[in-house]
Amino acid sequence: MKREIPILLTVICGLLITISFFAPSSNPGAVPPVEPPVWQAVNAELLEWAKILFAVAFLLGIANLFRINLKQIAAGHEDRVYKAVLLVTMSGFLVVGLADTHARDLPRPLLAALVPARTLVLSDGGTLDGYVIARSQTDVTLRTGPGLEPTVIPLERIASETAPSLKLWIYDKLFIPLQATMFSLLAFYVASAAFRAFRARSLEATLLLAAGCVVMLGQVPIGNEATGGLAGRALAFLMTYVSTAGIRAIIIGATLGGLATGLRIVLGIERSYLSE
Amino acid sequence: MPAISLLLQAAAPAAAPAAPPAWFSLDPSATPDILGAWIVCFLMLAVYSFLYRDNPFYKFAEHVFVGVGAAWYTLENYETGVLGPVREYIGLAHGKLVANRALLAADPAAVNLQFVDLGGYPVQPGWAIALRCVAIVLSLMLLVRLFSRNSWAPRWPLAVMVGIYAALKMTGETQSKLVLQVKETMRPLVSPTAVPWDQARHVEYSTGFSLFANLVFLVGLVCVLSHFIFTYRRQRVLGAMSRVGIVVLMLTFGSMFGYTVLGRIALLIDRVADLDAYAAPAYSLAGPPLAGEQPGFGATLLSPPFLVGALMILLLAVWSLGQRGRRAAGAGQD
Amino acid sequence: MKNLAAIDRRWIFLAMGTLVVVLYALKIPGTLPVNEYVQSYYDTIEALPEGSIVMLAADFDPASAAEIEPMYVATIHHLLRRNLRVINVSTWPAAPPYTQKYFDEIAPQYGKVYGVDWVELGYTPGDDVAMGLIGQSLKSTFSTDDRNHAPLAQLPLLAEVSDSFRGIALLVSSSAGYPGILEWIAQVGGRYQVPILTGTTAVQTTALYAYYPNQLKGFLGAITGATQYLQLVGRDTPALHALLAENQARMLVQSWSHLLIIGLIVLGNVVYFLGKRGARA
Repeated sequence: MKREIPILLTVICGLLITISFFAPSSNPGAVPPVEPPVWQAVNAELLEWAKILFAVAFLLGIANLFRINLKQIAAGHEDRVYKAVLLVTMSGFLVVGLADTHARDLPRPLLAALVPARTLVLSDGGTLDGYVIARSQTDVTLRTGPGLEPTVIPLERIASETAPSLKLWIYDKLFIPLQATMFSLLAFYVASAAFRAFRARSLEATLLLAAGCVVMLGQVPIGNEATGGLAGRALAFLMTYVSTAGIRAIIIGATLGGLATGLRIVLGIERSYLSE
Repeated sequence: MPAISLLLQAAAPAAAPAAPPAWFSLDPSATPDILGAWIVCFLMLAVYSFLYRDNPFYKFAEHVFVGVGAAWYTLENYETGVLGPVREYIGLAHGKLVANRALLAADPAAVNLQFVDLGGYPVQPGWAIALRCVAIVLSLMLLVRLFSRNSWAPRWPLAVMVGIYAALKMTGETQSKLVLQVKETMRPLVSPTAVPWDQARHVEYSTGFSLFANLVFLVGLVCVLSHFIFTYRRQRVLGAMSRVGIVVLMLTFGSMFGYTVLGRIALLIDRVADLDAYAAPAYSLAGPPLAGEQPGFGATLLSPPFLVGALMILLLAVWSLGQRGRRAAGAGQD
Repeated sequence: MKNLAAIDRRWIFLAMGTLVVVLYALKIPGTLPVNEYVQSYYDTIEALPEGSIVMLAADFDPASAAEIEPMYVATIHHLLRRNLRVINVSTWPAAPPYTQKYFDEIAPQYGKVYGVDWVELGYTPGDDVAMGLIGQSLKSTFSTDDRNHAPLAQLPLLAEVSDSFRGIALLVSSSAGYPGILEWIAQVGGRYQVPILTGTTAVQTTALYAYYPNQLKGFLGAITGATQYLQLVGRDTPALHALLAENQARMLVQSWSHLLIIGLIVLGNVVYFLGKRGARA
């Protein structure tokens, strides 16, 4: 039963999604109008389950990250200082982010300490600092004042609003430059590989390098001007006909393989994902 | 309708000339603050220091990146994948359930009951909540993995996910990547917009070229597909076709390589542009120039990219010498 | 020759870095001829009737922002200038801050009102599942919007959108990888017969040619596609002139960097083959 029930679940969910794909969609414009079939609800609910599980898997992942790094710090790993930095930044950002998300539920001291207040500039020139907890068509509910009590402010009293965010500041000053710079390192490695690794040892390798050079020249103004526009035209021919042929064949071949694997999974024949 | 437009208007100030940066500002719509500029430059140059060799600056930046990245992804997935579809959805459905019960209590024959929109299909609130609770149970079963690696419980949600993803990809991709790709291959060998040779502005618009190019495409496609047939021995015809297929594949991979180079260098240029922006006098330790004065070269040298870069090079040189000394001392002891 | 073959790769890094920094400082613009795919992207948006609803999917992150941001910004300008209404979604968690930032800057320039002219629904997890859900029913995928966390019923724009992608005239995806344009085509394009445009990174561009023109009405490939598009849109949009000039200046740096790479390939092969000949001798 340990394996049979999961396989049954896979088959049932897979078949329901597949049948939903072929079920007719609602069409209010048709004559007579086609009402939404129940398959739309089946499809949507199953996809919502997958979405929730996908998100929960991230929680699992971050808990695992904590566990592994704490273990390595306790074991005296040589990079334990850096791992401590990792855990501190991760925890700090999580706390700030969760406080921002749950601003309406947090007790006053935590809210004031962790979440910067919005500033509402009123039409009479005054300002109001607080935390927005709800918006409606006519007013904004704000936790404001020394006790951070909910206060309803009519929209016509509000001239403008600024929304400082520590969460976005951390994202902007830490995450963006770090991720962007990490990936930009590849430019240097491409240059190094171009000199040290790309060898025209055979006809095939020479063709590969030649095609690469055509693309590199054809895409940029100097390449086009230096070759009198020939590089651009060669690029267009290469991409539109030759490369497209190769890509399309790869897509068709890979999809046939994917279809076979998908069918095997949905029919319960493929069980490797359950391996112990 | 000023009230509605105020409600619906983004909380953004009207476009204004760039204000001088503050020392520290959490307002995302304001000019980037000075403290942030120094931090950004330090982190960027710390990552670039890896090009010299693995060093403490890079390791620090790398671990900060992993920490901040993991936290951001978790926060976003928690808010949109857990809070939204679970707490808010069930809260909304519960509100409708309570309202329906009140209506039915007042009038058992009431017809204007509220339903929950599930994929365009109206579902009774009670059923909506019950179905979503199944997802909650599956999520809790998935979290059991934290405590017991070999438990049977996480396999159920895993099986559900695998079944759903497999079916979703199978159906959607078969349509777009198999059926429609084959359909698009079946196009006229001569493009309908091609004109006779003597009327064409460029040779590429002529019927002769169109025929040639489409033949190249068709032959190339068939030959690459034949290269992936592994159930027959590659002799004579199949072997020759496979060989042509390999040529087409090499040209394809070469074009991919060319585009990859293009993309990677664009990333580097963007980082240089960012550093250039932070080399502005407004961020320099020397402060912005007085009205009417041009910023001096000294102000540029005291700006975040240059000063942080110089300090980092100095510290890395000292560290590197220290490493070399330790290695020499270690070798000497051996 | 042996010394050249065994050169420390850090000299190559230094050469690349120096070239980029020096050429960037020169800020000499280079123009590009507009290709068929970019022109088609532009023409598809131009052909939409005013008031049409467009879904703009932000599927990128800071690692790909160098290539995607210019095309994303230009697309927002183009859509708002044409008085098209925009529903913004994202399947990448790192994208929503970019959306908010650019709509904050750009929407007021066209007098656009949030909730009437554009809506930000934010990120939804699940990759292909997210796209399948969005295609099936936008309103049951998101319970609140991303900007104000208000119920969707308060946003007039969404009253015209219903399940199975009805009400949406065009899908534009600024896509950096997986999940991205290929998944949108699979989950939404074929199923709901909606026209799709995309702006992608260089790495993904080669795959897109196979989907044009039936499954993909046009695309912007890499930073060069973005520059070509800016040349088209920037003609009628003064607010884009600075971004256009910046991108055109980067084309010079791009050009010489490509020549450096080609030079390194040639030099590396020359060194290799001469070394082999010497070894044989």
